[in-house]
Formats: sequence, structure tokens, C-alpha cells
Amino acid sequence: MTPDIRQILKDHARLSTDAATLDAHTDLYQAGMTSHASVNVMLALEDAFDIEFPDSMLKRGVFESIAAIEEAVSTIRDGATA
Amino acid sequence: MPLRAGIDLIAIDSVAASVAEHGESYLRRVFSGRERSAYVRNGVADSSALAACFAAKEATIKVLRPTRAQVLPWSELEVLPEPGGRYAVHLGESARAAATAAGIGELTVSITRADGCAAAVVIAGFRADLPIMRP
Repeated sequence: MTPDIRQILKDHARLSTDAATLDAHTDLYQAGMTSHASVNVMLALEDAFDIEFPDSMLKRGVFESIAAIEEAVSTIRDGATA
Repeated sequence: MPLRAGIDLIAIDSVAASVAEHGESYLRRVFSGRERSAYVRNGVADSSALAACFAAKEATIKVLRPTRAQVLPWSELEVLPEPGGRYAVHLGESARAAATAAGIGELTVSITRADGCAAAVVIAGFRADLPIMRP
């Protein structure tokens, strides 16, 4: 899952550093992701993983790191397949 | 009276690009039905107006200062035109809860657009009947 998320971040997050080399726990907002870029990241994740982030997950912590995004995507996918 | 300010700046092109790439998904997730009615006419999105609206939403988030675990959908921060060229911020349920938690009462917004960018400033006044939280 991680390579896809890193590619999505590379394409949409407008980071000041290379998403491929980011630590999974690096704060993406500190790495240059704007709030508007996070919208594009969310929508690209939804397209790539065929999911939809519910309103209850629309909080800063969900998109703040690669690890947090992985966890959120897994949570949604697990819920969808339960 | 204690005040808190939030400011945001956004390139109008970035909003136009999001509309072009994600279309209705982008509009529906970020903007309320009333905002879409105001800023999307006959199926054509006014990227300049949407960018100004988004900047005002972000400026509002900056005054609300939600925690990383606080749910705050963008569509719950409605920025709508008022008579006389002014705008007003209307808070949905989660946003109202965040404002109350912070001790914030009235919100005033000012918007401007120039040179391909939109900017907004939001000033929040604190309610006298609530404690002021300073996260």
C-alpha cells in the first residue's frame, strides 16, 4: 500500500521534499502540504483505493503522515469488506 | 475584547485544477449545497469565487484551531455572499462545537482577489459567557 500512497503524495501533496524518501511518520503539513493539497490527496486516495473518507474522518490527524493515511485507508477498506 | 485572527491565501489556478481533475467529487466534498448554488452557475464553476471561499474556510479553521482529532468537514464551514459584496461564515454542527469549545462567538470575514490569488481574513470575537481556550 505504501508505494501507492507515496506516489499520490508526490502527485498531489506539493511537498517540499521527495515523498519517496519521507519517513512514514513525518508530518506532511510540516513538509509543505497545504490544506487544499490535502483535499486533492484525499480525492486521489479515494480514486486509487475505491473508497470514500466519511465525514467522521475529516480531521487533520488522518492526513498528517504516511502512517496515518495508511491506517485510515486500512480502516475504511476493512469496514467496507466487513 | 479579546480577538483572534486567521488568514489564508490560495492560487485560483489550484482550485481550477482541482475542479478539472476531480469535478463533482471535489465540489461536493469541500463546498456545501448552498455554496455550490452560489459559486457554480449552470454547471460552470467560478474558480475565483471558489478559491476565495476556500481561503475563508481555511482562515476560519485557523481561528478555530481544531485539534488533530477534531472532526471538521470543509462543507461545515460555509462562506456565503451577503448583500453589499460582503461575505458571512456559517458554522455547521461540528464547526459550532469547535467554536464553542474555543470560546468563540462572532466571526467576521473579509475576502479579496488579485493577480491570480484569493485571500481571506477571519476575525473571531470571544464570547463573554464562555472561557477562552488557548490551545
